[in-house]
Amino acid sequence: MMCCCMVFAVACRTMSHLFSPPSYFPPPHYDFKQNPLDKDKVLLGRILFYDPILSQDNTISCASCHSPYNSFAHTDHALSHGIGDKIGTRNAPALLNLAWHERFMWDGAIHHLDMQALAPITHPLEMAESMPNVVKKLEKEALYPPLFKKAFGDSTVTGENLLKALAQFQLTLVSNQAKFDSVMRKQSHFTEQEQHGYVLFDQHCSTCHPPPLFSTYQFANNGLPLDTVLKDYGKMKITQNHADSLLFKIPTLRNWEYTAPYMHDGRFQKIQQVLQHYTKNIQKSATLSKELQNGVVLSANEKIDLIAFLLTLNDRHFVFNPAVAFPKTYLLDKKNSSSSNGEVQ
Amino acid sequence: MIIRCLFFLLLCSNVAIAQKNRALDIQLLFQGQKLVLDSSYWIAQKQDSIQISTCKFYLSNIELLQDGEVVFRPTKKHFLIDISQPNSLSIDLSNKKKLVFNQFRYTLGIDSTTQVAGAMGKDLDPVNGMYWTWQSGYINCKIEGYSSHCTTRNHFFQYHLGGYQAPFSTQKTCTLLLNSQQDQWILYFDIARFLEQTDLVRLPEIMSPQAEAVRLAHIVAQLFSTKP
Repeated sequence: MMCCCMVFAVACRTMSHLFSPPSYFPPPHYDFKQNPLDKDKVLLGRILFYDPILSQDNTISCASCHSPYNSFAHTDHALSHGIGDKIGTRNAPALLNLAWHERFMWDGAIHHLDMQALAPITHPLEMAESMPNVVKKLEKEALYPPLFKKAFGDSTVTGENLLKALAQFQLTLVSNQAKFDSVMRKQSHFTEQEQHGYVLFDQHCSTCHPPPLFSTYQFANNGLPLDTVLKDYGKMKITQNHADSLLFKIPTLRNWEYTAPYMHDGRFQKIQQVLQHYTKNIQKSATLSKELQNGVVLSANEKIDLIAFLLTLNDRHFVFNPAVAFPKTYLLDKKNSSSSNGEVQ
Repeated sequence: MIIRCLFFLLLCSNVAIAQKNRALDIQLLFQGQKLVLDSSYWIAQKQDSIQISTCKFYLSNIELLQDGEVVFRPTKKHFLIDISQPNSLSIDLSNKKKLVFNQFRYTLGIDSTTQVAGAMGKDLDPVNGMYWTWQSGYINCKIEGYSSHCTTRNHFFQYHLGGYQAPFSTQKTCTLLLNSQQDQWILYFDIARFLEQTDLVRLPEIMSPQAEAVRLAHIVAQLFSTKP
């Protein structure tokens, strides 16, 4: 009994080292009891995340479209960029604070973080690989069986363990070091302009983007006209319910500055274009969010103050955190030193 | 006398073992004959030539009952039955004591609790090709093949029957008569009877949760039989 308690205590300490959100965050949605965080599993997931071996031609990794410097989103491309220069149909979203998400993808197609990686790995316009082939490739790559053994106690590569490891790494992508967070911790103060921007934000934006996560992670029609090329109706594709037409997942505003372009199809390059949309260009339709029925009214000066507040949501520590960066020790030298146990750089 | 006693004990022990190590065998048929993958079959009713290339499905929550009372549930909850994997065509029903039952209950498909429980292994591992990747959820039943009537590329038809949320929940629980005294416990599924109830011309492909998937999945579930 005492032994069990000690094991549990050690597990809790390990978990808190890997995942320690601030007290003002709500309880996470992810059920950690089903996949308790473990440093070896997180490391394996991190290596897999950055390894292009997951794609059919070994050229595209998860990080290709989810770069740490873009808060694990994608820059330069409005739509995701897959193998063979194929272009997808959606803007690669930022990956952060994923333990609080109930559903994934812009249309909510995926209901569990563990299963999310299946979509990009197998999508013909993204990594275009099959799960059985990924498993075969990883088993043949000398680097991986020892890492699976260390993480899961079995060197056999399975889809289950591959997915759990990827989920574990992504769960550690917690952003809570923005200026907004330091104000929450009473370690800093908003400037007068930021404070005014916060008031405006509270009036106009916070219903869909409430702090501290800055999203409800629900789905809404924010009045964007349908892209006539993509013809993307969002959540309706999944539910086949007309009430879900043009509903897309509400993204977090944390780290927005690193994650341009914006919206599900990356149609806006700049934050000013986003504000222009909400103040001038909302298209009415049967499913338009009720919060946007009367549009948003902001003067030019108010827009500037609002942006000043939004800039306090940028978390530079998260973006440049070496603990979640490319694992050079493993991936650059993997062909030569397959069983490296050195410090990860 | 001692030798007689020993012989009797040995005999009893063998009978006990025989009672303990029993399995339910799955036999996939086409018009009453053992189904052979990629072989050509003729459906006279439809004047159609058919080949089956894939037949996989999940049987879950298996229970043996005596007059409606559950007498046995195997520990394993989900069985992936795949005609191309002979080892999958037998469900272990071994038990410590002799089972007496007259009914067999099963669910075709994966229950909604398991569907949302995250990554799982063995029969539920996504590498088995029974998990949708573009949308979360297990494919409860996958039947693929070729029909001379299909106007699709290479005359290929594919039914990926899944969906776990209302109104497109495809899992279905059924109960059959199965006597514990029978020499063999066999569950038959005649795929020709399924194809007779599908419209391969109008709807040769189903690969998402939808009303037609629900209809076909429920047909599949009810076509299982304990008699050939």
